[in-house]
Amino acid sequence: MELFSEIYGCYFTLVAKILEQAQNGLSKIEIEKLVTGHGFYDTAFHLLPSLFSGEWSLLTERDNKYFSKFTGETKRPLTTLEKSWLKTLLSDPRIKLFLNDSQIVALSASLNNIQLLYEQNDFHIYDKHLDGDDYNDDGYIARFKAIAGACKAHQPLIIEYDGSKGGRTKRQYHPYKICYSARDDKFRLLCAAFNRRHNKLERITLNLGRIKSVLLSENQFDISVDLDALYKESFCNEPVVLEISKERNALERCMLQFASFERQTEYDKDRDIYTCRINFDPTDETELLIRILSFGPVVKVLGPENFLSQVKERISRQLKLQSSEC
Amino acid sequence: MRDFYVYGFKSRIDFDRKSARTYDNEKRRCESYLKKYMKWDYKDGNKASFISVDSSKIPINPLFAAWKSKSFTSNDIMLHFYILDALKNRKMTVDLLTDYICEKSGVAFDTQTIRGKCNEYVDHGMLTCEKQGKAFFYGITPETVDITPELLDAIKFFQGAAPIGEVGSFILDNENVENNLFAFKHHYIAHTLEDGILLDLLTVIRKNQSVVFENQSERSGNTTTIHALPLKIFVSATTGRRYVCMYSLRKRRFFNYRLDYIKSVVPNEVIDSAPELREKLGNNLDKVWGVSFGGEHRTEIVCMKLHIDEKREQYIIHRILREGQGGELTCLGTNTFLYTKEMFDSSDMSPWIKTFTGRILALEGTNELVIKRFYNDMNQMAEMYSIGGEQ
Repeated sequence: MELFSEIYGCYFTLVAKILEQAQNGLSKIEIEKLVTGHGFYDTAFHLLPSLFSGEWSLLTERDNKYFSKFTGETKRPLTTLEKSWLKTLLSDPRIKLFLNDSQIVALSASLNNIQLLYEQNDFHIYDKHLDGDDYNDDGYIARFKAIAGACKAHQPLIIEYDGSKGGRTKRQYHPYKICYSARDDKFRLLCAAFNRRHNKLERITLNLGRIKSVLLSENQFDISVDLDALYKESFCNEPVVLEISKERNALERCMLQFASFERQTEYDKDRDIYTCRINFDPTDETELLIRILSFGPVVKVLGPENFLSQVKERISRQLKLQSSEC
Repeated sequence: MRDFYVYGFKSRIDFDRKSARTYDNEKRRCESYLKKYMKWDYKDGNKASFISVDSSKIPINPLFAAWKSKSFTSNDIMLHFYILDALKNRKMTVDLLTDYICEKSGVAFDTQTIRGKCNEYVDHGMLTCEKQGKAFFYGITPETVDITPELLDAIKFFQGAAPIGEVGSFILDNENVENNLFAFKHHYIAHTLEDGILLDLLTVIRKNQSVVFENQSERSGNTTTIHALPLKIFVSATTGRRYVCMYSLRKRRFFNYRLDYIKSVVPNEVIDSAPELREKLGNNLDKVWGVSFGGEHRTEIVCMKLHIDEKREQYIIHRILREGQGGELTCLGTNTFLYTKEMFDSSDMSPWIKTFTGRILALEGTNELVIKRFYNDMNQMAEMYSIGGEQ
């Protein structure tokens, strides 16, 4: 089964999209817009001349409009690779969050002669947290589906929630997206709630495992545009600045470990040292702090001041504990 | 692409392994695929290009672009649409198909070219080829899978969460659907760049086949040829690394090799004892903290005495239970706990131990080097941050 094939390529997908939309005619500008919106940066340069000149003979020009030479759907059939991948999902416990038992049976039957791409136990995630969400809990599955539906329909929800420090709250939230962490094996709801004191919407993250009940709110209004803007805002806190030495393969380890963060790295030739600035969500501060400490002396925090003082405080506390035990 | 994404500081002069032209080509390719995420910075007169992306904010892995960029000929793209159009709701011989396509497109194709493309699509599973009498009839493979909205949501999720997720992204592209529902945290998007090797390895794992492969260490630059039996893929959700666990047929023991260091895999003979070796590996997994199977001594023990405020810091106890890989946690007295774990190689555990900096009362273990290094590291850090005088 071939993973690298032009049939999955950006150009084939884009041309299929153009042909589908060009059944009723598209102007040159409309086609150019599709190419700019869905192609690579240089796609227009390569694709448009072949399309418009008739070299590929896929469009005909009439009255300044381009028409597809085909009628009906232009999407291709699923390939064996895609079916194998789908079949493999059926043995993943998380599939129950999406499909009920009869849907799983039906899909399984439709993929009867297809081989699995892999088996779940071919993979061993050795540092996955052991307190992941329970994907076999019917209540959890029902709440997950209700939340996913509300995210797609942009419907506010009344959510009953057990906080991390105890205590149960019930409040209206505007759901945005569901975030999954492979390390935590947990789903979290990215949402927003109105802060009356500051008179503004604020970003809130709720663990799905701690959500006790979900109800559609009676006050239905769509704020998806505001939510989008809210979640695209950059974090206003200062980035953490690290100095990474060349010892113990620290550079590669550090770059890989923090690859999921937005960051910038520079090499200082004179000092033979690397400096990395990591932008982070303030709610992840402690996690980032302990991950940096895990590198020991090969990574040094330079700032910001508040972050640096937390690092120093922990090391200082460590020295005191060690000496008290001696 | 990996260099630009993972390191993010490569300027032309840092790109030491290949020629300047390769650097330019690679940079141009990255800029074309990842225009939104590519950034630039000038340092000492050199322009450094890098990819900077918060993986929790992107609906689809931008590095999937690497799988969606295979070059093709004019014939490839024309025949793709003409063949699928011609065979909609009917079956045709290659001669009929050729006539139909030539007439509709106004382009002269020879039968051989069309047969070749049809057979390629039979291999992909998109077309069927049936013999009726003396003639072969091509048709579109009947679609048995009903891509429901629920299944589409599952694909939106698994394209980011399951191995070889780019395949899910291919399906979404074909369905003209975008992931508008899920975000992913602790998501290592560079994994997709190793998925070709991963797929080859998963295929041989299914067949109990050994492989010969070239392992190129980025660290030392050395390339070695290894013959071994792949058994399992080890993944770290924290450090962003993936490994293949293999049984060395020569050394008769398990090893892990970084997926991103493997350049190609050649399948070799079927190993009859593969199921037993897989079982043996499974029985030993609880003693492998990370990826090392240790040295001469069979197992090592680490004991970490911690100060945890029982009333206010229950979250630390929870953290040890969820991250401690089955190690034993016992309460020794008020606010004092002992965590104990037996494993093949305790040096794998060192980074995790250091995440408890500020809470460790004492660290003991059978591997003296690991213990000594911990205390040295603490002293070095104290010196680095100019902390001291209270030891």
